[in-house]
Amino acid sequence: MKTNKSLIIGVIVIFFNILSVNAQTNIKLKPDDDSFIKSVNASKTGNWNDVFTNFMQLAAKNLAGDNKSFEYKTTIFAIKSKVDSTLLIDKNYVKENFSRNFQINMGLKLDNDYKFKGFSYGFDWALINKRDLSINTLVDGETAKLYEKYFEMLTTCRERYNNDLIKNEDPDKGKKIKQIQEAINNNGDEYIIPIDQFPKDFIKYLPPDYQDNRKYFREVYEQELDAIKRKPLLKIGFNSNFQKNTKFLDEFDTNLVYLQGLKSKKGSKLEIDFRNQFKAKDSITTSVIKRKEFSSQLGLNISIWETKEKSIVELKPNFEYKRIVSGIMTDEKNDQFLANADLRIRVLKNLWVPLILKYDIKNNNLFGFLNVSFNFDAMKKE
Amino acid sequence: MKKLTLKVTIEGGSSQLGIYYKLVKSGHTSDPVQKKQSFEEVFTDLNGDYTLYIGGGNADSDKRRAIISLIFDDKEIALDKDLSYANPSTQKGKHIYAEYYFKA
Repeated sequence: MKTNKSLIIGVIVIFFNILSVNAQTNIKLKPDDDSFIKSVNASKTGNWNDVFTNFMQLAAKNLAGDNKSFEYKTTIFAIKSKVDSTLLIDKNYVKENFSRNFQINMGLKLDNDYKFKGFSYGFDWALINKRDLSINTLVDGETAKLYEKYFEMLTTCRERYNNDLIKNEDPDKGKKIKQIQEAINNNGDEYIIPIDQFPKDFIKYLPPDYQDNRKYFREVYEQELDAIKRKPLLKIGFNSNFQKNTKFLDEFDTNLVYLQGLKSKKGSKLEIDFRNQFKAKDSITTSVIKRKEFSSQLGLNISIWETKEKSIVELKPNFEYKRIVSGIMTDEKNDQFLANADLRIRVLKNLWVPLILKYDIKNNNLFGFLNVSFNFDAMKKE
Repeated sequence: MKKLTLKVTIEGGSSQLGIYYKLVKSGHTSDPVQKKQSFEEVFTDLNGDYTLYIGGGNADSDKRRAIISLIFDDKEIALDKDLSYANPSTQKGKHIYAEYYFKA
C-alpha cells in the first residue's frame, strides 16, 4: 500500500516537474505573450479543444468514477519546434502538415482510492483539419481587401498630417507623431484602431465614415473567421495502456471523430459531432476477460451561453448505439441504446469542466462522469 | 548606390491578412504593396527623405511572432531613430505595424 502511494506521488511529481520545466523555458523565450493568443484558443469550443489541441493540454478524466486518469497531450510539431525554432517561420510551418496534425498523449491511471493502476499512451491524427487558423487564412478574402484600403487611407492621412506639422514648423512634431504610434501600439489586437484612441489633433485628418468602415470591417472579419471555424475536422485515434500483470495491447481502443460546424441564424456555435469507437479488453486483472465492444455516437454540440468571442456553456445531446461483440456480462444486452448529454462549463478562460450524463433507454439507468481539461500553454499565459 | 532591404518574417503560421508596405518619398505618393508571406524587398537608387510604412496581420496561433527589420549602410542612409520604430521590431499582437523615417 505504502509502496503504491509513494510510487504514485513520485510519478506525479516527475510528471508535473517535466511540465513546469517546459513552462519555465517557454516563459523565458516568450516574455510578453499577448492576450490575443489566449483569445484565439479561447474562441474554440470546448468540444473542439477536447478532440484536437494545437498546443499542450492536461486533462483529468472520470474523477468521480472507478477509473480516474490524468492525461497530457501535445503535437509532434510542438516538440520539434522546441528543438528547431526555424520551423515556426511561415514558409517552413506550412510544410509541417503531418507533425502539426499528429498529437500524442500519455497519462496515469488511478483507481477509486487514487492508487496507481498503470500508464496510458496513444495518438490522434487529424486527417482533415480545415479549421486550423494558423494556415487557413483570410489573405485572399474580403477582409484583406478592406484592410488594404484602411492601410492606404491611414498612411495617406499620416502623410498629410506629417507634412502639415513640417509646414507649420510645429515644435511638438516628434511628440505628436509618437502619440499616434502609441495609439497603434496600445491596440495591437485591433486591425483598425478605434478612432477615440488617436490624438484629437489627428482625428481631423481621418475620413468621417472611419467608424462605420471599422464596424463593417469587424463584421466581415468575424463572418470569414467563423466560416473557417465551421470547416470539418476528421481525426483517428488509438489509445492503450500498461498495467500490472498485463501484456502488450491487452487493452486498447481505436476511434474516429468527425466535427462539422453549422451556420445558425442567431449566429450561435453549432457543431455536428459523429464518433465511433472500438474497445478491446483482454486482461486477467479485470473482472471481465476478453471483452470487445463497438459504439457509435451522433450528437449536436450547442453553445447555449456565449459571448462574441467565446462560448461559456455548451450542451451536446447525443444518441449512442453500443454493440457488445464479445465478453457480455450477466444481465447485459448485446445491443444498447443510450441517450446522452455532455454539459461543458467554462470555469476559467481555458479551463473546462465537462459533465457527461448517459441514460440507458431500455433499462432506465442513469450514469454520470466528470472530466476536467485545461490547455496548459494557454493557462500559463494568464 | 543607396540600397535598403526590408525584411519581414512571420512565425507561428501564415499571416492572417497578408503584409503591406508603402515607401513614400517626401512630396510624392505611392501605393501599398501586398505580400502573402515572409519576404525580403530591396529598394535601390534612393535619394531624398522617405517614410516606410509596414502593416498587416500576424499569424493566428499561440506561437505567433512577426519580426520587421531594415538592413542598410549607416553611411549612406540615416534613420531618424527618434521617430522610427525599433530596428528590428518584434511584434506579437494580432495586428503588425511599424514606420521608419530616413534620409538617403
